[in-house]
Amino acid sequence: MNAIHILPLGGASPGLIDGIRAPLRDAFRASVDVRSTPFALDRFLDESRGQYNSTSLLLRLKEEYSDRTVAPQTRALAVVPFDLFIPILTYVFGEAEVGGNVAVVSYYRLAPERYGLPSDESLLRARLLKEAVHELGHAYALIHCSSQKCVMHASSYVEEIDLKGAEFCTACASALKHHDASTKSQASNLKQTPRHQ
Amino acid sequence: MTKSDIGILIVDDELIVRESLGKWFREDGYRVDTAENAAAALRKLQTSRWNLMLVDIKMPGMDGIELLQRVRETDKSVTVIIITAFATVDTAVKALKEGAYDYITKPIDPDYLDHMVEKALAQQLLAMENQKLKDAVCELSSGGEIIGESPEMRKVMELVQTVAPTDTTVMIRGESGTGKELVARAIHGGSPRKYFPIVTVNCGAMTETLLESELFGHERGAFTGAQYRRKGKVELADGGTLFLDEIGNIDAKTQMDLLRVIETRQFTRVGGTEVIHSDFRVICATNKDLEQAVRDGTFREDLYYRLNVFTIELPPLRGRRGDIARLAHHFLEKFARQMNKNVRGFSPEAMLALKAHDWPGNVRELENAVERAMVVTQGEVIEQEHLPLQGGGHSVNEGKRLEDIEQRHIEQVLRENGWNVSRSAAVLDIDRVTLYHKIEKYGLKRVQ
Repeated sequence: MNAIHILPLGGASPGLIDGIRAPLRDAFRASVDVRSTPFALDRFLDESRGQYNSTSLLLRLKEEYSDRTVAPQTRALAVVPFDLFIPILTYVFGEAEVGGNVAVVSYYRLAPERYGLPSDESLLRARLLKEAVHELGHAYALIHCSSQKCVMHASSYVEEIDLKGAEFCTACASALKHHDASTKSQASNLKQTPRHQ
Repeated sequence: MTKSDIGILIVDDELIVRESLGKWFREDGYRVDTAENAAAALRKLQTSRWNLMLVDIKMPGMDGIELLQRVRETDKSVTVIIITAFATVDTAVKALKEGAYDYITKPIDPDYLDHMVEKALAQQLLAMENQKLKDAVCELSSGGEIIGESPEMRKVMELVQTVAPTDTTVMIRGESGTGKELVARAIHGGSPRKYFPIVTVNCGAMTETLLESELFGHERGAFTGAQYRRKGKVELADGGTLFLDEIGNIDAKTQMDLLRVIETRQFTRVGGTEVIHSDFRVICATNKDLEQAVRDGTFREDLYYRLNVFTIELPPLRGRRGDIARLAHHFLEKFARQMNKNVRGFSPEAMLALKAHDWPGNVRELENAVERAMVVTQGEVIEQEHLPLQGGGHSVNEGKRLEDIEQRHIEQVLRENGWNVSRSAAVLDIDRVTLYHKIEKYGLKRVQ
């Protein structure tokens, strides 16, 4: 069975995280746990930009979630309240390695008040859920989808996130199912192969 | 084309930039590779096809501008986007002048990056489709059907190549069946007007009023039967070429109208008042002695001089016997393909007969002779008796009416099928009743 570990970092809101647990469980048919992984975040902060380097953060998470330490179906999703960047781009909402086992998502730019609008907790939660599903989708080997309604459609600004749904389109859902099946088969093969000590 | 068919090559000396951008585009489903310097990029260009390159302007060794120049020299179809820092915008502008699609400044707005790449790739796809269509048009409009290695035909082809790219009026002269229309198409196909139509008007096949309406079109109600407005050939040839075949056969009034439209490129439709402009090139053809017609006063001298600017004389087939074998083989292959027959060549006797014949109907007659032989032959080789030539079957000099040919052909098919009407009708692709009518009409009888 798929397993998702949510890692709240940098004081991420427990209420928000609680709000996305059940939908993530349904989207990936996975057990979803909130885990604490305490490690220093200062080294990822680029003071000149006032943003955190998401690629470096992702690499650090990979150390925690290496192939040797977790089952192949497990994915870790870090949720952060601060702004993320990758060096060549001005900002990112999140980052994941396609087919890797870690992902990170930030809700810094998802809050309506960031754009001079009144605070809206449910809208923020809906946006965070979509981006969390999107990044985890990458971690489960999905690439961007051309369907504008699909959660895997690329979004580089919040209005685009609002336009798409939180669900996978038929093609992406099918690709996810296929990926699950092949991962399970690999896992079962691993179990059957005697280990050389 | 799917995204995985589109190749993006990222060239930057900074590992973090290569990795970040590589990951960004892989998430979109593109085929992505990276190169740490210009030399590595050039190597990757030799081994794989790339649609788009993102090139950092500042790299040790060969910089982005020099790499861009090298890429433009070898493959103009690759779209190059330059990555630069604010401080080097001037250099980026220089890159644009060198042929870069655009430039982006670091750090890049992700939304801007996605849109720029999508726009660049869409533009490249359009350019590729455009080129494919142009190639297809070139293929269709090329003079591929003109066959001939004889000195006479080589001279013709040289003249075609010389005059084609110009806008000069061309007069093609030659006997009937020498391929005047093919030459006209070759001239059009080699001209900048090739992406517009070549419109043929067979001036010899129409009455005075019909030709006028055919050339200039007509308004609704211009004459009895003119229920709709119709564009004429001159109007349809706008941007392209107007090919006036058998120009020597037009009457005095049409000669005058034609002279006016050739001089002014303006005309009015029959029954209309609106002045219409059309930009066309004129190519005309004739097998008549136009100089004699001018002397006789049946062809306007001013129109003659308008049309007779550059003349190409097509030699009769009997004047270039060296081409007969090549042409015969060309038609044999063409009809074997069309009729799905496994006929590979001519017997030595058949080839001798072809070369000895005078071919008064020129290449068209040769083509018809090979087609007929292809219909009647049952083996892999065309024999002399399959050819409708003197001494080898029926003479082409006698019984040239369509009915005569039809009669002979039906008789031949009936004979080959033992006078079985159903089988013969199937071979002729007509119904049995029609075949019975034709047998009765031509008085065909089975000879025991």
